[in-house]
Amino acid sequence: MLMVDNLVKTFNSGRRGRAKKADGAQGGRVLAVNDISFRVKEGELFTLLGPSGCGKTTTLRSVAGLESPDRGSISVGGNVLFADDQRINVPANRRKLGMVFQSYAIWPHMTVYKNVSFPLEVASRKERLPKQEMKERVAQVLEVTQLAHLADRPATNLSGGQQQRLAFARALVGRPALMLLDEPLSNLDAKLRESMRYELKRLQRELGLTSVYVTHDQTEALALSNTVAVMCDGKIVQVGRPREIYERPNCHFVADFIGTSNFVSGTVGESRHGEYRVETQMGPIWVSSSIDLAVDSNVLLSIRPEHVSLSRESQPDETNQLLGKVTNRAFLGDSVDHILDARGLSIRNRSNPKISIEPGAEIYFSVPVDKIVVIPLDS
Amino acid sequence: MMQRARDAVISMQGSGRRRLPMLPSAQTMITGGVVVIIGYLALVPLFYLLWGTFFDEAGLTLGAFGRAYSDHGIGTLFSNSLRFAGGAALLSLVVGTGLAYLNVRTDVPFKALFFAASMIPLVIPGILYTIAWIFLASAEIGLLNKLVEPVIGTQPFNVFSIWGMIWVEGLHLSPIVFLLMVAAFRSMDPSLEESALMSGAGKLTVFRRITVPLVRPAVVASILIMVVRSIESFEVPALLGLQDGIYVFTSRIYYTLRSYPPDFGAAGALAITLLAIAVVGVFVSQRLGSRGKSFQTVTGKGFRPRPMALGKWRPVAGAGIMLYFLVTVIAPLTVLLYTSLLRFYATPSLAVFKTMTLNNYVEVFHMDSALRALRNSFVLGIGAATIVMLLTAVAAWIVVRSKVRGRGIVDQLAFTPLVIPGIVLGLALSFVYLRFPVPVYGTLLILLIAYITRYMPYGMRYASTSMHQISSELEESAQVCAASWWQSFRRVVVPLLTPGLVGGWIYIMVVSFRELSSSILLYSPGNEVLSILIWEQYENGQFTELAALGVLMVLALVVMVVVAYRLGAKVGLRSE
Repeated sequence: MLMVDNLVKTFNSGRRGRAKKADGAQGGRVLAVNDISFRVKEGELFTLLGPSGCGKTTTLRSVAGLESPDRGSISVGGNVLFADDQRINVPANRRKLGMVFQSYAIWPHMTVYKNVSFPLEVASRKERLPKQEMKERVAQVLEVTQLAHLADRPATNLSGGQQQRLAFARALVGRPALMLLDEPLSNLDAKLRESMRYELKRLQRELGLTSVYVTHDQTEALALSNTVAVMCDGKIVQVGRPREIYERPNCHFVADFIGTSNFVSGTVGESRHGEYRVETQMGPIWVSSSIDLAVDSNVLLSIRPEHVSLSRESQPDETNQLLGKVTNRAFLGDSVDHILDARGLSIRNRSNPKISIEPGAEIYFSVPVDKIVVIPLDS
Repeated sequence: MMQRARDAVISMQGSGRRRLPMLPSAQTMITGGVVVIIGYLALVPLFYLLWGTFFDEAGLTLGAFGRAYSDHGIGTLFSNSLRFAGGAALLSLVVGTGLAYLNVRTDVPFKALFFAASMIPLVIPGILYTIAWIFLASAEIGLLNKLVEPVIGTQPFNVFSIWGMIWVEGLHLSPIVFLLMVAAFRSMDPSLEESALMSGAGKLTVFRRITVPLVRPAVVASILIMVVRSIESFEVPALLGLQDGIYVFTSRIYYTLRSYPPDFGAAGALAITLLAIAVVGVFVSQRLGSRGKSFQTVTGKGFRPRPMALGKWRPVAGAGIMLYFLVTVIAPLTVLLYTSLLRFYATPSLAVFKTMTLNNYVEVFHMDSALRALRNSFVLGIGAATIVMLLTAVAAWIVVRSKVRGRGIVDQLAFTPLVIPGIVLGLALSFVYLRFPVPVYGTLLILLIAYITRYMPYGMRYASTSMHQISSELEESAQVCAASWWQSFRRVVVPLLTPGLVGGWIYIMVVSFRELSSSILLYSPGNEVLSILIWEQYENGQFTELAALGVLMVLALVVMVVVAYRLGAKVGLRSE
């Protein structure tokens, strides 16, 4: 559906104007998007996830046509929208995409109805719908987004959630092939954000929209997306289903950015049936790895706190059982966190609130072999 | 712990009251004193203006209005004022808005020039700007006329006309519109336009249906402000209009007072009409301004508008900018500099260039009147700035911090002089002090009072803006430490206010330094200030000395503005 290939976009570094004169001579340009390629399938919600400044918004704005990339190509449903080698750059207003902005960009001088009908009114003469049909289309979209009763209100008299839905309705009304969403939930408070998240997912599924969604909120990305692409420093570092990204991060950055993790470095020792013994500061740990690990190579183990299980007694047939000491404990309502000291390494555990062990106690803890993510360090 | 501290404060206050049972506290005396002074400055001139206009020996009368408005030229007075103010406002609006749009929203070249040009009204006083344009475009001596005469055969420019007045005033005001509209364009979320683009609208449609409606409140407010400013303007109509009898309100007031015998009542009647127009204009523009605020979509995010590529129009826009800079900045300054180097005023030629000399500058430094005017201007500037900032620091505390009932009135009082045109204030003050038993009229003191009154609103704005930025907890913690009101005000509040107070001080210094429209009615021989001296020299035809003095004055103002920027003070043209 959407194909983005080898996209590159640079910006002048620093502020415009005077700064430009000062370091322009050195060609101070910053790579915002550095050779990115990805595919979005029909009907899919594809998320670009990353910290601020990683280039995710620039990528989205390039697809929208609001930024002109330096190199690469972008096509939607077989139509080339941008290709530097063919000198194609379709202007934003001819791309027929829908976009929801972070600030919603609701036009304050129009009513709710006018905001939604605007895209239909400005369509070129031969594509413009007859008046009656226009009305029906707007009414239908307002119905879907539950704004029908507010149609005649000035757009400034809406709550945050309503403004968000209005922005969505406006993007929807032209029946775009592709919907672009730039952090659409980040201006809402926490409770509303959660309910709007389900609302968005419902609309997306019911209308069969193909969407590209930009966010820095990993929970949002995992909950909403069919596919997540994690970005860092202008590059996509991992693409996959949300579960894959969470359970099998392919690098330190992804493991660290998504959820919380314990990181333990070690050296690969003997191997047995595709499992490897890794020597770490807190003792030997058995891990499984889909890729071959060389003996004596350095690896980083990522262990999720919820995969660390505690027991007061030693379990004789448990692999990866280690001894530690509880140094701290925090009750979080739906779970309890323990911080363990294992030979000088600090390990975080997350348990069911039924388990609670007082600080100072010696404790056995173990991690299932298949739950440990191995990230090779030498390559 | 807290409780004990609070008890300590309460007992401190209690014991304070016991110790001095009769004397009011320092807080009451200082704040009370400031309120009385501000009230006096704001209300007394207005009262005397009304009284002097509506009362004569026989009691209440409308005779003054009769005398002022029975003149058969009065219809022309209204229509001239309207054409002048409307024309100048329109010119400044078109030029200023266009420049602001180019600067904020497009990739136009020479962006640095814009802000240099926007400093013009601050560093070139209106009187010098007008005189420079007389040198450039008057019928007999105008350089531009001499320049084009050989080409087209006639002298097309005549600055002594209503069009000349509109041109000079409009150009002088255009940087103010520019700054107002830059702020309006910057506070607009660019995604409002981008979302229209994404909806499929073309660039022209976006401009017509999104950009224009969004900035409309700012445009309407600026046009009103410019109309008020031009209707209050004195320099341009007096220098360009009086010669051919093109009167507007301000120049008519001046004329009425300068004829013999001066008719104070008739001048007052004109002044009251002018005041009423200004009040309505300011009131409406403020209402529009607050309505415009509801248009601002709050995102709390700094906007990074993507400048629109002008493409093949970029060189055209660039040439336009250069032309604007040339016409508004280079040409007037060059002609002043040129004239200041001449022995006699003459149009440029090789012979003239050979006789160029720095004599005029030497002369200025040996002229008693020039040195006295310079000293007077400095003394008045420093005095007015200092007194205004001291008064408004306390007044801002009363308005922002104290819980006194009716504190809003203090705010209103401090802002009242904002709507009083300079020449009206001058007239009102002469009403007051001509009858005053102590000799104030005919001394520098009356000019000081005039400047303090005129610039009190500016000081108030600086002081209360900074006061709002200081958390009240800082002051409360000083009180909990048992500091008295005066101690916490002097040692906590004032130091924290300093940047704002310094900014206001320099701004008032700058604007006092070039004040003309109040001074013209209040000065007396021996008490001239710089702008008055320039006015007198113009009337005496001493063009070359005048130009030298003008160049020095511009330099002094440039130094002040640069120092202000170095100190990081937010000195800008504040909209009224």
